[in-house]
Amino acid sequence: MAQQTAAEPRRRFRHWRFRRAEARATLARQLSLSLALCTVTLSANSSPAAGSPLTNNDNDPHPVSDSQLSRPDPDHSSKSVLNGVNTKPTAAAAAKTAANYTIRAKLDPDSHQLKGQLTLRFVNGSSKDLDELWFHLYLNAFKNERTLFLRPPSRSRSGTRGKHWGFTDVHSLHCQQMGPTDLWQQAAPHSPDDPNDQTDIRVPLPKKLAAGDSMSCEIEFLSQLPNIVERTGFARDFHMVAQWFPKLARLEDNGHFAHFAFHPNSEFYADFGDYDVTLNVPQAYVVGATGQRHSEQTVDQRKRVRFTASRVHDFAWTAWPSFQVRDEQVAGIQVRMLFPEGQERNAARSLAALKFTLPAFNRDYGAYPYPTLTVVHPPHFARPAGGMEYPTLITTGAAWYSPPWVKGIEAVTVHELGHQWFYGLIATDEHRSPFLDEGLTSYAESKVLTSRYGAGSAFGGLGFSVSRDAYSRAAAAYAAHTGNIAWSADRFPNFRSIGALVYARTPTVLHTLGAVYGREKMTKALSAYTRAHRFAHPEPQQLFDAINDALGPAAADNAELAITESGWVDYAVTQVSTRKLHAPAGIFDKPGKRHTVTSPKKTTEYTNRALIERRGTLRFPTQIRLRFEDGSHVDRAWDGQGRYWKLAHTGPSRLVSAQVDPTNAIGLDQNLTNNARRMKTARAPRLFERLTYWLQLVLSVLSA
Amino acid sequence: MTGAATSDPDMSSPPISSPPISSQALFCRQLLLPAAVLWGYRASLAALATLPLSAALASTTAHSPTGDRPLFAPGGNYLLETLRLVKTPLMAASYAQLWLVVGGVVLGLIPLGFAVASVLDNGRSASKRFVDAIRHFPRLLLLQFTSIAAYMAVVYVFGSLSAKLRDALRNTLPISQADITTATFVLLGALMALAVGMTHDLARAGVVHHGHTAKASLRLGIYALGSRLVWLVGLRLLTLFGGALLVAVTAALVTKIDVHQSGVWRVIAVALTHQVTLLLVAGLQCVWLRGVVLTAAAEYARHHISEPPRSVVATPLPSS
Repeated sequence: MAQQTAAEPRRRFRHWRFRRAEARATLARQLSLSLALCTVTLSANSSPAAGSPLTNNDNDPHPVSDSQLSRPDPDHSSKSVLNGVNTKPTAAAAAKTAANYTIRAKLDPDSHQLKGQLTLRFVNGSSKDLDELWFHLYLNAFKNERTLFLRPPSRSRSGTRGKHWGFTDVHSLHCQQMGPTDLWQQAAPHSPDDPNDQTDIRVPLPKKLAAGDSMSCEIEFLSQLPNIVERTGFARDFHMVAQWFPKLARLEDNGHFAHFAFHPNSEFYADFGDYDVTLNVPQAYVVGATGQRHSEQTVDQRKRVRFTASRVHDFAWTAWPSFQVRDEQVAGIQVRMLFPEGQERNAARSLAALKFTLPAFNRDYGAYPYPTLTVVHPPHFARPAGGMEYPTLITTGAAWYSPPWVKGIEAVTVHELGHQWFYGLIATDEHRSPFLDEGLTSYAESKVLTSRYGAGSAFGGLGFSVSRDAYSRAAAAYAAHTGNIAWSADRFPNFRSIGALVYARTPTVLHTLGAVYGREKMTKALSAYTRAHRFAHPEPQQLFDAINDALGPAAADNAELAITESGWVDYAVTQVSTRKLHAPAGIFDKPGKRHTVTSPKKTTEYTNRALIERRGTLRFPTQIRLRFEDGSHVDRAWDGQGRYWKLAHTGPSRLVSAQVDPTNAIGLDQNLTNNARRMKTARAPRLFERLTYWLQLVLSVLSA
Repeated sequence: MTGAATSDPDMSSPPISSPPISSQALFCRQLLLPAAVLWGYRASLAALATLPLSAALASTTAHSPTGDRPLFAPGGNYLLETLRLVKTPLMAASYAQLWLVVGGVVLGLIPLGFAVASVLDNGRSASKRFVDAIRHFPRLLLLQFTSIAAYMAVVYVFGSLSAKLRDALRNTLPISQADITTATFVLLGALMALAVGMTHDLARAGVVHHGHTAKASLRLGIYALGSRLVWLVGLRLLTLFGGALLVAVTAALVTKIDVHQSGVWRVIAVALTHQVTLLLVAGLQCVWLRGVVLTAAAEYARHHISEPPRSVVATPLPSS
């Protein structure tokens, strides 16, 4: 009870934040109707693909607007799953399409440069008038070794360094509504407070853009691709072209741009928009890109390929003359596999993974709304391009000889596909809350892989198996006290820390919630969250609200504590005892008589006791299993609220051991080895036997 | 040369001559006994070396209701947790035990020498063969170092060349073809390493059975390998793959027995299966060693009686 009281202020705070979010939502709802008209008009008037996939309906709660995008959502089954859960979309879910891009770009394969012209149609969907724009020029992160991305000690995730530097130069920026002035002349020369970085550029507007007004800008730019550092660049004649054009930062409802300098720990954040991109590449190049291929023309040994994508927040593409192509329909989606010669087996494994994952994700998180998905397996010399997500395009990667018992290619495929929801459709701020995309994707990945491969979901063969959950749990426990899951990307000291806290500890939190409060309920929570915030930009609070609705306030408290306040828990059995029960000894007064009992009569029963402790800040209900000499056992439930529990049990048999959480439901338990205590310690014959055998084998090989 | 070879009464006795003996007894003396000695030595050393490691790991399962069974559970949850928690003491214990293992491997040349002496028994008692093995220990050790140096040279040469070859091929061929071609080249390196190992064993036979110096034994080994290459490679691969097959079958069998389940019989069954496998592996090694000794003896006798090889003539054999 005392603990419940302690939790009350946090819940009140959460509810206050929820009300605040509701107020914002109401405001946004009021704006959305008028803005919808502007957006639709703009798309219809200025887009070359007008009338095709680039229209949208902002009042649609599941805003997949046209025939190409309206895929049947298998919600018939999920409606029963979602019974009792608030699945109504928030105002954020009905977000406007705010930044539409029409781009024409020409690739020079020798200099690895892109010359581009970009038309940006932008709607001020915020509640405030704007006097500035913020552009991300991500390729400038690879301009020199003084940028935020490359300068020590951060460097890139993989530690790779540029040999060929990359950059984006904007040559001009003209906006119709702002007069003939080249606005780029007034652009800031560098990122705020960082003269060495040019990835986050402010452009002041000569006059304000009123809330609800739209603007059309023409941008000319030149992008020099670097050698592949992380996710973008070239290697020999292979090109992975991502974050390659001047990209408007996401405009939040409050009128502030969510802009940030490109940090090596960080990914991206942008508004949804309609993209119409025409790529001019040498004729021999095979091109894969975000969205749908609309047309292809060949002129003067070069080809122009036009792609359109509606309601996405980025556009990436790849071009390489040596790609093998395999097209297949998977769950109604046109899947295109692009891979090097010799990687046919991995392509088939990727495809197989898509076949069992797409239906599962469609069911759990809402239907994949796009008609296409492109899967790129980079060549071996461009390995850093693998394992990345972009809207409707993912990159994978594994050695061609990767054995079937190592689930690497399946894991990366499922993970990147999961990002089509947790990043693609639920477009959270990857810089500010990386756990919302990477953490939830890792959870979705591990859930699917476990249901498919069971205990061997990470490795299974040669009589030995390791599950992804076990791996995540170990990493999560390792990192429990090192930081906070909910940190923004730039606060993590290195990528290893993000790996442990975001990629590993987040799924462990969610698995624990599911195991303790009900896996079906956990599915309902994420199902509600993903459906309500489809095509929107939710924040952590929306996730906690969904957990609160589906699993209850206790689960939501634990989730919030674990994620935002480094919450942890360690259950331990610290004492056990067993004594034969006997009648009490001593002097007893009875009416008119004093009776002394010196040798009390023993009974056939035993008093068995165990002391169970809960260390840490999280409180999960759990069970304690008492095992007895006669082979029987008793399970006792504990609400886990107190710091300890003195458990007493009387029965006909001696206690052998007491174990807390015997089903290992609490993956967040910091130490599994103190979860039990025996009256008599056990030996480890299996361990000794196995270690001895292995060393004997080694000795046999050494002297063979 | 002949004088040197006959100066030691033991060495003067024909290597293949044995007193009349039943085939069963011969099997026991020439195969079972040396295999058992090799197995017993390795088992003792392994048990001694793993004791602190298993104690460190067992501390995490001492209070588990099902003992150390969770360490073998599918999924590896408890195993990873144990490794995470005892990583530091385990590493410290492993480092300390590493020296014990290295020392054990070096001293293992004595039971190995005994096995080499026993696989082609010339009638001497086991204790005498054992004493002989101790006597030959310095030369066997020298051969061991020479062999390690040769292995390292092979690994270095083929390792660096294969890396260059792979890079070159990957620029021109599809990656799988490039890697398979490189792997073929690496296989050549493996054959070279195999040849080093076979020469080493032939040289051991030269030391133990003919009392040669390490240098003379190596020359004899190289000569013998050259003259009976196919037979020796065939026997070597047969015994090696036989051993690998045994280990693989054992792994499958042990997986079926599944010590994660309850039942002491499972532990006993697995232990017996493992140890029988290791005894058989040692037996296969003795079969190989017998082939080696026979080859070396035949080559020695042929050249000793009629036309000794130039290399052997050039270096007079030692008297002891």
